[in-house]
Amino acid sequence: MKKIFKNKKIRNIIIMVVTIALLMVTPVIFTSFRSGNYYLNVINYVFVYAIAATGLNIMTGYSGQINLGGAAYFSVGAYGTVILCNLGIPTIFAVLLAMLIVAFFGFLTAVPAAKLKYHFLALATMAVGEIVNNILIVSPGGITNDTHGMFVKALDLFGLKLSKDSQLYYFLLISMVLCLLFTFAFIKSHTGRACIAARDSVDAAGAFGVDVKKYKIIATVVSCIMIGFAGFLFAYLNRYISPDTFAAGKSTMFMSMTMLGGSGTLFGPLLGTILITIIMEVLRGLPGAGLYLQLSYGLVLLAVMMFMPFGVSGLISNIKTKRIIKKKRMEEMEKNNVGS
Amino acid sequence: MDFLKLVLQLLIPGLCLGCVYGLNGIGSALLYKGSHTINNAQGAIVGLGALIGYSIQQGLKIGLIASTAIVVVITFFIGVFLQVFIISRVERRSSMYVVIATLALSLIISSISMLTFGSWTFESATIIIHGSKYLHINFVNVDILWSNIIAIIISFIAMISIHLFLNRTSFGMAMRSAAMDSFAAESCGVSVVKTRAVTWGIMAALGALGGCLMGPLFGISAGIGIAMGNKGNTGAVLGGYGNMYGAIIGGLIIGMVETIFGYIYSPYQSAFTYALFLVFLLLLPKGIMNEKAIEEG
Repeated sequence: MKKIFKNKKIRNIIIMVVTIALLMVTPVIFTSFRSGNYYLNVINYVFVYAIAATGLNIMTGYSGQINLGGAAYFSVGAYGTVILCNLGIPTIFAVLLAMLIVAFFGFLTAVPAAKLKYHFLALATMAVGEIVNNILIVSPGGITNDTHGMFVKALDLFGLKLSKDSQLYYFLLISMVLCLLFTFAFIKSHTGRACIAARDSVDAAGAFGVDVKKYKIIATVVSCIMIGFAGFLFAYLNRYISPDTFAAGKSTMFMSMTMLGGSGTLFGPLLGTILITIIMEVLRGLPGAGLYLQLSYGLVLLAVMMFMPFGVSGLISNIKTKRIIKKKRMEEMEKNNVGS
Repeated sequence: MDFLKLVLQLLIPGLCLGCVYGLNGIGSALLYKGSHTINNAQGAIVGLGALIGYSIQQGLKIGLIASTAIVVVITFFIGVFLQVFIISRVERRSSMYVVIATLALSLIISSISMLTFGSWTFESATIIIHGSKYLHINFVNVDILWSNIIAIIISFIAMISIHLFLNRTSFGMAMRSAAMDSFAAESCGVSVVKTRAVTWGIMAALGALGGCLMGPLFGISAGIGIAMGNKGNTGAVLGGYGNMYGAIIGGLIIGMVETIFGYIYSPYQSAFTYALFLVFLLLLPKGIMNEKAIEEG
């Protein structure tokens, strides 16, 4: 038995099977006790925000471009799908169309943004976020129902209605896993490696024949699509969308999730989302929770920037490498002792 | 005559707004020249300065100008403090981190000032001359707030004194040399650490000065600064980022355009200003003063 656990491959497989089994039975466990539904709801939000943070990570972490207007793409994805669905288009086509709109929108910002320096990209994306939010509040023709917001019908997938949290759970879980797999495939692909090279050094990447601008644009569009997809999921999970839900606070939330977890790592955004959600749920009961939340985002971002630039996952891998180095040093010392 | 009245009624507030944006723009220009970073926390500092000014007015029962002078001194030290204890530590890694760190500072400062002062709008003290808040111009029969006129005058005095400080004093010279080439300046005996700290101090003080002067116009709340900081940046981009004089001109233009646009059609006022910012950033990246700061390569 001990031998089996020592074999790394088998151990990994066992861990994976146990995780999948746990994830599968989670809704069953949570719906069995009274306040369980609430926790299930929180977990669903974690999935949605994790997708958005992962999307943001492609742009910020892997391509080295800052985005402080994530809420803009999030809201375009949400409003796009809901408005198209209200027109009578089947959900799948509505989502695809909305993603096309988000992609086009991302492309519009990406093309001029690819030539901007880091600081000004931050300002530009912030401006995009503010403009989109203003248009949502005072929309042309009132298609977004302005400040009243819109109520969203239950998600309808090929006649399969997903309205309860336990039903949505599986859909959101699968979506998140697919997004993580996609991100993994993206960073391992030729395009992804080119993006990472361009992030690390524009000049060196250019010298190796990487078209830096092109890959920056690709990374931005892919990241915008993923954030927009998260927006669509958010609309059907929250069942109500209004300009307030997509204010600048959401952009900073995504940013702090990505940064806290560790930008440029695959599971960092997911980890960051879980941590930020815990903070959010703890602060929920306080009076003036919004302000404390803003304060905690600020403190989290500042702490990450000052003490752990690669986030929590960077901290973990740092500890791991330190342990390995220590081990090697001990081994070497032992060898020397034996020698002498 | 009606047209002239309208022009005056739009011109003076527009000029006043423009001066405040210009003051914010000067700060970001000095910072960009000095350390190639931007400051997202400027807006929050403006709001904090205005609130401190209000509490001084209430606590010491003094007028607008005296309280503003005290606020300028306080915020100067706040700026120095932020640079020395927070920004300089982040700056060592990469200027990229400063963007996010200042954003974090902005969130922290604005939420703390809202938690301590509340999120409602306070009524600021105004300037009363000859027993009236307004300057009455008989010629066109129009009333103009004295505080607007005083704000314009004080802003111009501040701008001129910054200009003189940078060009005529030895520390100003040191600051300019550090901005030009920090390595060379350091080897000539300029303390770059000091000049950077003072840059942050000046930036915070100018922003807070603007915030206090805007008090009588909009009322004082923690939120007023956010738009002001962003519009100061817009003005700085329009003038050519990193150029102090460009920032003043850009700020004045933004203030005027915004006032006139707000008069014509108000619902999209904020979207309009940000759209203007994007247009300048993307189509006119060198700005009026032909500064090559924004684009890569």
